[in-house]
Amino acid sequence: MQQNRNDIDESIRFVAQHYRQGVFDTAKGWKRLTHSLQEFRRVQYLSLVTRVAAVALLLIVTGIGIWISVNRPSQLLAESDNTIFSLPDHTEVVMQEGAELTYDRHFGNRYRHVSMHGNIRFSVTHDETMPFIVFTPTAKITVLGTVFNVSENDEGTELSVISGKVLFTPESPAVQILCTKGMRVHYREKGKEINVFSDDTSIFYSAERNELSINNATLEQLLMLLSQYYNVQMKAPEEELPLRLTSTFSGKSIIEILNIINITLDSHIQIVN
Amino acid sequence: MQFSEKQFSKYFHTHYRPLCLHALHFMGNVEEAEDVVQEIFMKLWDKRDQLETIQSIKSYLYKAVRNNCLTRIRDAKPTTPLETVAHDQLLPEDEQEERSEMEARIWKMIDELPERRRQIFLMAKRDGLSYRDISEQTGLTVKTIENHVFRAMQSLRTKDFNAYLFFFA
Repeated sequence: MQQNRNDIDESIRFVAQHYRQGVFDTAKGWKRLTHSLQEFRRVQYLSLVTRVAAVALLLIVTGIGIWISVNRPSQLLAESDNTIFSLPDHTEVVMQEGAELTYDRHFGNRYRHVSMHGNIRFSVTHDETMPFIVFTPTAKITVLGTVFNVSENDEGTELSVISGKVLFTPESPAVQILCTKGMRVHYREKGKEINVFSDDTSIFYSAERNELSINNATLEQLLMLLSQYYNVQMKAPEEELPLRLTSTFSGKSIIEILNIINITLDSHIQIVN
Repeated sequence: MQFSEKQFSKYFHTHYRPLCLHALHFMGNVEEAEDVVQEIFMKLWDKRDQLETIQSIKSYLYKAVRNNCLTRIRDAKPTTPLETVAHDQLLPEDEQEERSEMEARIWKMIDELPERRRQIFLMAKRDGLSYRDISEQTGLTVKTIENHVFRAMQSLRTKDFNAYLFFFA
């Protein structure tokens, strides 16, 4: 035991002889070491970056959550046939069972956009400064103020105009079809087919098969559609516009189609640059 | 086996001061002792991918400190035989480790002494001043100086002596 005590006294003397306050300080030593170790600093830096990133991510997620809750779109769902809703601009919609209609908080203030699924009839409040636009997954329908019916399903979109004028734009080909009272347009996504019907007329166009089928259409209707389909401007003498045609064109170019029409109707259609 | 940042930090904080005191026995200078230990931990970090070959990290650290010190002494005084230097370190390695740990605890206890008592204790034990000289410098009586030094020694001995006896007596 005496030996142990001597050892301790010897150690106390040794330590006392070299003791200086703040020397052999572990915290200072650690700081010095980590400063020297570039790689270790990077690990610490990455650790810090990770923590900062986590906080930033949390803030972003919280912000997005708040933003989403503030901007959550209004959604109307019809649980039975002929469910009637009135939109903020007083447009009236009659929805069939299962139909859905969505619009965001800017509806009626900045624009009048709705997206929909199912079968819905719209009685749109007239507003020339703010078109009413219906988006379906396969088409865009633009109106100013009118009554029309839109039916959307997995195959495509169908529009029936009851009054006024409606601009129908399928997803592809994105041609604009101006539909008036009594007209019906049916767009099928498969085959990219457009069927336009009026009282005694129908025009069928398949973009995939490059097939155009006309049934009792006037030259005026034809020129409007062809100029859209082929993106060229055409004109014909005004007196020839009421002429009617029934024909089918498959795999023909626009030049060939116009030549056939001119020969058939003895018309004078020209392409305008 | 590879060190994580956390494991490395744990080893450093556990062994830093005892290793410094271990190095101090060779170097006789606190700055150089700290330099040695810093270098050893830097090497340990660089070798963290190869630690499976090391049986005991603690023993490795003590040996590394010893070898580093001897290399430094040899480089500083090339004519000094290493056997002469190492002669002062005749204790077995495990006892050297225990002594360094005990001295680290003593160092910490001196840190924790009341300031007046620590000042008087160091004047006596480090600076080698007589109690009379200390009395003149501090304005305290010789008896008070004796009392401070006695109590300081007692607390350093008592705390560590009990622990020492418990483990090794």
